[in-house]
Amino acid sequence: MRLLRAALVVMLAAAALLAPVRWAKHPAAVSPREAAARAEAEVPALGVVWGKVRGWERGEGGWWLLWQPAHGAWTVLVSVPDSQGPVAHRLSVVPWLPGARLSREAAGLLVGASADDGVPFERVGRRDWRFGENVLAGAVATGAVLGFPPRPAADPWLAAVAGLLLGGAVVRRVLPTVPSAPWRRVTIVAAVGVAAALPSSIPVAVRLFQAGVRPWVTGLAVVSAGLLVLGAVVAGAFHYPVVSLATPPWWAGGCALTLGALLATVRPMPLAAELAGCRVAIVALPAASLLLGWGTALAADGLREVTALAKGGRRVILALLAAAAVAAPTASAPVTVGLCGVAGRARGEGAWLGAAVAWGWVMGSTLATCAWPAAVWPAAAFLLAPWALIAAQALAQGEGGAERPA
Amino acid sequence: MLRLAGAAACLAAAVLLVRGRGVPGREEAPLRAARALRMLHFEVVGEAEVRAEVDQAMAWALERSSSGRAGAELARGEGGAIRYRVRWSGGGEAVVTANGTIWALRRPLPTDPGPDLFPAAAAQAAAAALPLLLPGWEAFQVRRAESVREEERLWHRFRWSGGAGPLPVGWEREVEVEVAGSTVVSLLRRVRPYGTDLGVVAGRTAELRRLRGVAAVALALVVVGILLAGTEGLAFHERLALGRGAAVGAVVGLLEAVQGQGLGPAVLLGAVAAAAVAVMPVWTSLPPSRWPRGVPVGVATAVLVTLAPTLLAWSGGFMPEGPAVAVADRPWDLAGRAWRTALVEEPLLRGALLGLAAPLFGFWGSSLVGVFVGSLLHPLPGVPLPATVAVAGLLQVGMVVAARVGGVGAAVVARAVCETLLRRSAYPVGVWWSLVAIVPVGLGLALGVWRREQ
Repeated sequence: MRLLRAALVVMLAAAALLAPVRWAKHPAAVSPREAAARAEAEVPALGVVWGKVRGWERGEGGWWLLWQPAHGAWTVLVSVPDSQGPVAHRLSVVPWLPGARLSREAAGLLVGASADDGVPFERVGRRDWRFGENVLAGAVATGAVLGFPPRPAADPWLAAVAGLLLGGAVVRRVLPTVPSAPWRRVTIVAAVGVAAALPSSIPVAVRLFQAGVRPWVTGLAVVSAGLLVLGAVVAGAFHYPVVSLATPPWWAGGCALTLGALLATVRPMPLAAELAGCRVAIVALPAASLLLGWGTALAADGLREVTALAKGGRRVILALLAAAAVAAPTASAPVTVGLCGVAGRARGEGAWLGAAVAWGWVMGSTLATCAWPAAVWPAAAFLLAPWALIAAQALAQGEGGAERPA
Repeated sequence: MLRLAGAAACLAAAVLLVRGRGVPGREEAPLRAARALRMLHFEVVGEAEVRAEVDQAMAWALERSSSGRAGAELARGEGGAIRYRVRWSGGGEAVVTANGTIWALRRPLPTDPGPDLFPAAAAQAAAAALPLLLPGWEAFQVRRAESVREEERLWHRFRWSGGAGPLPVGWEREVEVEVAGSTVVSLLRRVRPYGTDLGVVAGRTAELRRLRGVAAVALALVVVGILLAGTEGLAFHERLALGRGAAVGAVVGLLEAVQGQGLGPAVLLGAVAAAAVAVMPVWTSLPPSRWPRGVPVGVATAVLVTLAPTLLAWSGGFMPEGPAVAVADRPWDLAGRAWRTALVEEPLLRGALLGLAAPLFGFWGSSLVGVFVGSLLHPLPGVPLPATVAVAGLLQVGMVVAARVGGVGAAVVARAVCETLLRRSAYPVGVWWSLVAIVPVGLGLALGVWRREQ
């Protein structure tokens, strides 16, 4: 029997590890910093100082990278494809920056286009020209017409998750609760971990950098907003404490972890690749997983009480909801599936299962979206580490799990 | 007696704060505009409609470009950033700056505008009209001319460039004159700002907008906290101030709607204010409300904040002297805007935020969070950026003091008083506008003294 359990654990672990790698869609072959080095080597000199790489975003088939000097008067956006294709760039300059007021003929000569095709744009201190795809800011060629891909449309699952979070918070205040001090500490430590990683995770918020806003202001805004949210999470850990009445059986924990990893194949976590490219990913990823797990357990508490109204049909509703989320896989759909799974179990096991699902999803997403070794090995190690605990529990416990008070 | 002397001092300070403040020129604009149009041989007929036009970024850039009050004067005069557009029901339109400089004119095309002129003759006709309308016109030189035939009329457009003139070095004045047939029909002045002056203001404004996002995140979290506290209060049958909340929400919604902000924002702000006030009894850690104490705190805070730009200028920084010029027609708009801000922000920052965070951080720790969030909501663009945020924080500290001595009610009153006094300079010159700012202060002080005597 113990051998069978060990075999099951190994199979589940293998599935959790291999599924995200096997069904990965366009994982990034190189890290954003390597892509930045390639961009700096391949993009022709623009005649202006680029400044530092401020942020990056993973696109369909490559990286979007953004440079901005400390004074913030311009940004350089570069699209670096995974393949050996051309590296496109775009210089965006604030309209008030003084520059040349070229004549139509001079501008046409500079970009090598017919002067008749030029459209002038009078700025405060200079004249910009546009000749089809070629744009001049004063006398500086700005490169291709390039911009970040548009954000996906509104995410209905996100609204559902937000509502369930509020519902979960109310449930934890209204229903009798035995708070778990260890889980509260875990949540606070995770929040502190994310807070410590925030300054190094600023590149993830690349879209917030804009010409005219100095990068330190953008960084300050990102860190401040992040700290406020983390402060709210810490306050939430006290106001709406985790209830931990029992450790789930080994197979439930294993299934949750595997489910999380499989969800990464449905839809990887947004910003997983971007976060993996940051210097403190090794702290940020596990800490973010634990906070996500706390949130999943909270929302699952709400969902559990809502579906409890259906009494016998509760599991059917949860299954249908999960199926609907898989069928319409927006960015928040995997979270919905995960909290359906957690809500299917007892309230006292929610924190463990929520953390397992979130851990599997975050690490699985990193494996599914990144192919460079510095991201893959830590993620694989993080994904495998809990299996050691599960294996130990499987070998030590009976099939039903040992109930223990928190 | 001491109390009475204090109240008198407060009232005197409030009077000093509003005395001589305001944007001039509104009353005189139609007369000046009609006189200018007469110089183009056009007599205005009918009612004049006056509308304020403000290019706030340009006004602040001009303020930054010159030291002291000179910059602010330029914004109202030769810089043309604060102006009034006058339209007559019988035709004709003119733009006059706050200090009376003619900025633009357009007269209706006469039935017989005279014979078409050659460009050189038309330029002479245009130049002949300039000395009457443009002081220091000798500095202007024709830079560009173009002629267009429309139906049977020949139109000429001339652009003169006038250098910097009284504006700081790097700025440039332009004037454009249109001639139809042999009649000058329009004149339009423009100012081309120096990139760095406008850039500092535009850049800081964009940066403050970015930082305001942080405050928005914080307020969103507070609203979530209010929702949860309200739900919990209902579930446990706790005492909620539903009636008071509904009243405050209705007032806020009404003020927002009357000021033309649209129904959506009015409903949203009204609902948020209503919820914040309704759950107030749940947070028992808040000091009890004694609103008359807010009046002197509000006046004192307004005095401190008014001094800040001067202090900043002495230390080599820059901060606009006053808030953005308001486009308003009725004196009570001033009070409406100030009270709306007070009724929405104070229950959130000094009520809900304090109630939510005080169990963890205590009164002063939570207040510090409130000061941080509040100081990001309405700072003015300045140099260095942290200094202007600190000045906005000074106002917030004043409100914390009000909340400490008189609860959320005092903070609301203090904020409304302070905002009214500070915003007075952004509204037109006039006794009624000043009375709107002073009368509530006087009434509040009188009531406070009377209640203490009782």
